[in-house]
Amino acid sequence: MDALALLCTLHADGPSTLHELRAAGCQNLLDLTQCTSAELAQYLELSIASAERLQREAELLDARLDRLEPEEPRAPSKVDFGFRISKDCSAEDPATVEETAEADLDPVPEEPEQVQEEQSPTAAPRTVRPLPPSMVSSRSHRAWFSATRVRKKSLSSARDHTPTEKLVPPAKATTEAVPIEWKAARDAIEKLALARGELGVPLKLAAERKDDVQKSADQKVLLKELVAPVEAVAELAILSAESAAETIRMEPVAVLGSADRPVQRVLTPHRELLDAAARRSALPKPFVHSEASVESVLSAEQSASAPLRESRPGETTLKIGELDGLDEELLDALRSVGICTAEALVEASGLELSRKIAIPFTRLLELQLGAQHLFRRHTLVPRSPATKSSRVARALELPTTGTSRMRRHTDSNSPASAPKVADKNLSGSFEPHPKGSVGGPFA
Amino acid sequence: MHILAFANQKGGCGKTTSAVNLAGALAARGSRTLLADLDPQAHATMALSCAGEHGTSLADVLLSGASIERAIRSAPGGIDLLPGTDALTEFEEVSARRMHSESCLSAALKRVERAYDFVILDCPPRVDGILCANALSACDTVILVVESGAFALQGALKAQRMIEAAGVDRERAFDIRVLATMFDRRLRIARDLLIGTQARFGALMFDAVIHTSVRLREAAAYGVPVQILDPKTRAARDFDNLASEVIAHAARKLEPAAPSSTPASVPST
Repeated sequence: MDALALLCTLHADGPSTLHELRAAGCQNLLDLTQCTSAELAQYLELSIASAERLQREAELLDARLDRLEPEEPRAPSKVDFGFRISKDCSAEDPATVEETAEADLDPVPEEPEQVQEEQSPTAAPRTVRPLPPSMVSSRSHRAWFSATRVRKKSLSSARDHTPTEKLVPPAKATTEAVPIEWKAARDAIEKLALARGELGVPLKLAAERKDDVQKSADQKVLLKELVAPVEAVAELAILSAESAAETIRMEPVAVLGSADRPVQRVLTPHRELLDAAARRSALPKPFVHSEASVESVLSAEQSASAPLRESRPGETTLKIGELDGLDEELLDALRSVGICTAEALVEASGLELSRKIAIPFTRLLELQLGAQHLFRRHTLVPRSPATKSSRVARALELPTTGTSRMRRHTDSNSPASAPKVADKNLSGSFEPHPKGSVGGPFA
Repeated sequence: MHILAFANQKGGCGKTTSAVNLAGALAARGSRTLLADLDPQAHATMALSCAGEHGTSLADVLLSGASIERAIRSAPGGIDLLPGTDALTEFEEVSARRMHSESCLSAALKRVERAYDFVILDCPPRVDGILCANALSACDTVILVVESGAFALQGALKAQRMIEAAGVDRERAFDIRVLATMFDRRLRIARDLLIGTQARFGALMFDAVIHTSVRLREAAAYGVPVQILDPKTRAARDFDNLASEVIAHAARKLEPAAPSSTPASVPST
């Protein structure tokens, strides 16, 4: 078995393809890469994309076998398919095919794999070029970061040599090697997020609206390109699961991660609440840069996880129907984690709570906003003669965005007998102003 | 007559399946084919629906010098079968007390040299045993069966070394060829292992690769070669390709040996 036979076994129809190639004078991998894709496609009765893929695999295999056993330089043989095709036809063919997933488990029909690739109408003829050894990974020929689906190109169009409908190419060419550090970082983040269960529960709730492939594509889009804090990634994943849009609309909004690692966010109607939730989030945002740090992050988080805020006497008790969407089941779930009052619900870390009781993050944010209004009504006090702008500003403020603001309100407006508001610490403790007293937090 | 021995130290790599179905492919092409089951487990005999039959078997031929013509029986697919039984283990035990015990099979096959084009020997998973020694002594080509598994390549290299050592003892260079089996192209690990196997054995490997196929298992369960069960399946095509290469290889070996009666031995690499 020579290298050409090996290539035919790996990426073609085995000995039958081998015999056809040899009948045309193709003796080795170099010969195969020297002929045009259009001629090869017509001769082997393949699509042009498949022919180009075969030539690309020949290059990769040649490089790989050359590293295993270096060979003497050889001159290409003359390959004659018995016909000629003008170069115009091969240049106009856009040629994109659907990528199949790595089939480690699922059976697939016995046909060659097809890979996404980019083809420009004015692409220059392919030339043999060695890939840098440091950049070549086992997946260098797969478009791992593109969530775009393209249609499969029919064989008939290749035979007829008619220009087909131009398909949307992926963002990057499949022949471009994937930076190893990106891949490692992405895999590390994905593993950590899965290990923490952050991507599991909310996505299950959205299973009816999206199939697994779309969810997987969403995750890939979210995880692409950036080394982002895991918590931010988890939030984005939750939001994407809840998003009704079929495609993810990405635009830079607020910085959810650290200043030097901005994260592109999904556009949602709860942008402000998400910002607030991110600021008051109790969990740290670790930087995951390698697989080795996954375990250390997990153990650190487990030991430093903040307890949910518990209810205190005098707070507004949650009842069924008092908030939109607060049904018996949800109320039981909140009570199971010690949240029985509106204040406790508002003060709790949204992301952590959504994980614990398995409700969508955005839904929880709506509940928290409703709870905020609820105990605000219950602690209604006369307004101080403050300016309108300051009243509006205070009214828009969320109760947990900073204890210092509450403290300023209480210190400036409350009488000396009013209880002090405790500092808000990372665990989210909060002491409300007693009902009916003057100078409440939203006075 | 060209004699091929399917051997490997590792069990479960596809020796019996390859032997049975190659015999079926050769028979389907019109070659007169004899399959000899040297394995005491007698799986090749079972795979051709001949297990449990009473009568003369290969063990009788080797142990007591029974007539090989009486032991041969017809099997599905136009194959003639020299059935094996668990009595072959007795031959392993008594062979130590006999002279030239490794030549018993060769002597028996010489009686039917003109009756067959190909004789396929299904060896037990023990390259250093007396049964495999008989196969090596009789065969023209040793086919190392290498599956697409993590340890298969290492096992094949070990078997190759043992065969070459046996050749040194006999002052003979065995013609070794390698056949990849149980190949699942969908798996990256299988593709990588095949590349590694090709890098190691190179020109010794057959171009034909036997893909993993449910039909092969079904055929064995039904007791017929895959060419009978489903001649259009991928597995049947694989063995047909292998048969083509085997025929071509046998023809190349016989041409230089046409003036003499003994086949030429090709030095192994």
